[in-house]
Amino acid sequence: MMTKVLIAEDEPLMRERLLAMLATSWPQAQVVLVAENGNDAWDGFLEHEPEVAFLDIRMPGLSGLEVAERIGKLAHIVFVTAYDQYAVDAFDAGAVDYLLKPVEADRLARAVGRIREKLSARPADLSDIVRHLKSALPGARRENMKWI
Amino acid sequence: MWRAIVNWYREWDAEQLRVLAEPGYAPHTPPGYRRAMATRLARLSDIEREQLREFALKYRGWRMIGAIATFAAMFTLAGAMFHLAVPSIRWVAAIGALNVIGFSTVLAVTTVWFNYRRRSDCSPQRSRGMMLVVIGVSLALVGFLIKFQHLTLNEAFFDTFPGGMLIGAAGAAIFAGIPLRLIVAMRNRQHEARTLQLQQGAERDRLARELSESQLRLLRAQIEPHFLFNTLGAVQQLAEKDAPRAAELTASLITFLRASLSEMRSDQATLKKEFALVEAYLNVMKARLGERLRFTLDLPESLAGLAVPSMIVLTLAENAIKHGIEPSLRGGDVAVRARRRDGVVSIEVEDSGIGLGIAPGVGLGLDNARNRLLLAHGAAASVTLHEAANGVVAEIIIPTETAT
Repeated sequence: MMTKVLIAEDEPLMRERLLAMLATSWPQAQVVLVAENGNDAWDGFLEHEPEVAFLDIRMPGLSGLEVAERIGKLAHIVFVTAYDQYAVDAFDAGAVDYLLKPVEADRLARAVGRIREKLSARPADLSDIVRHLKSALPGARRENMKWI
Repeated sequence: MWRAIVNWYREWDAEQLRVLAEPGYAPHTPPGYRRAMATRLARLSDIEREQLREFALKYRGWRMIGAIATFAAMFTLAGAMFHLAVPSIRWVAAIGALNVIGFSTVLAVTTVWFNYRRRSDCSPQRSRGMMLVVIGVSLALVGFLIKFQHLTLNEAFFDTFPGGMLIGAAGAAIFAGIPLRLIVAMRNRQHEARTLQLQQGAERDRLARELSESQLRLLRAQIEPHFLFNTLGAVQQLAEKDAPRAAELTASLITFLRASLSEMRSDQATLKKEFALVEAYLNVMKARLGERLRFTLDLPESLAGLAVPSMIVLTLAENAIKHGIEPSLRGGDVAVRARRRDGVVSIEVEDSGIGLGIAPGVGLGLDNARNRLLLAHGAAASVTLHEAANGVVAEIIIPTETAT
């Protein structure tokens, strides 16, 4: 049985890479949408109702965290991030998985294994973790520019 | 009794040293003469207190007694020689007079040495007036003595104790009064030189700190995960499907890293180097963002040699990408240009991203760039940020008289 997957990532090469790697490590995944920004990701989620969403945290429009907040318990979420110690700590504590960019094949395979185990269960409630992350990540907060 | 005196002295000594080290302690000393003394010490300038403390630590307890004994021995020896040279003056008068002169001079020199600021704070008129009084009194005393000696040549007035004291006072006035003014002047010059030295040291420290801060920030920017890892991820992807483009992106990354490392080592860079650095950076970002980023660079040949604080244009370009283009759904254009207008050089970084109002995140690095620009080119130079027709313009202004 195929699993519907959504990918949201703003950099074209990173998008391609994740797509190509996913095809290798998870042939049963059916990528229903590759979104270039948070807004498209959320619209696409409503349209396609995927079971798994790979979300970049820093994206134009809605951030990955904001999309995750809206998705709530409707899908399993894997965050994709370049690096953030706060995020890593939080993910370690939570039920959700994360991938560090550039994504490595064996790490992706492990994440896929974990997702497949959980697919039968209900998606985790991420609201607490997302709230924590949104306060911990300065880049994810909307603020007026103060640089001058 | 003796023990009580020793204890009192030790306590007072420790208290004074503490006040010299931390003047804020003065109000906590016991009221009376001790607090009065402590308050006086606390009022000295930092440099005076520091010197006085060093002196006090050096001549503590037995060393002070030793020093006094040495002086007394020297003055006594001089008195004895004085008696041998002028036999009409008795031993005791000569030795007494020389000791009085000697110790008052030492005392006066020491007092002035550590109190010169207060003395020099007198107005010039008053200070000149006091000088005249000192000279006048000294001359009058000398004249009086010569006349007196002439009149009482055989009466051996100087053999008497008051006579000896009179010589002592006259000597102190002549040998101490005038040189003390010179000491004050010399010490003041020393003080000013030291103050200047301290100020320059502090300024140098500040600049060095600022420089290392910008270096650190740059280092962070380079190893910033969102830049380096994303770029390496892009290289990895290209390597598999488009090797020539992978090589191109790697070359841009190498150029960027090499140029920024070389600029990092110097405080100033030419606009030519700076534009090359910005171009390498934008090439890397273009490879990553694809269609979402377009950019142009325009540097007239006449401005290529202009020196600017290193990394300053790059900072503006990074801000334009981070706060303008990356958060924008449709991406945008970045235009970097330098030109001469109205007697200034203007360097602009314009982006047609999301504009100023709704940019996420707080940018850093520009305060530092601005401080370095002001240091290098004065208050007429500026870094400003304003909204333009289709985006944001960050502009560096350098007045041409300081532009070399």
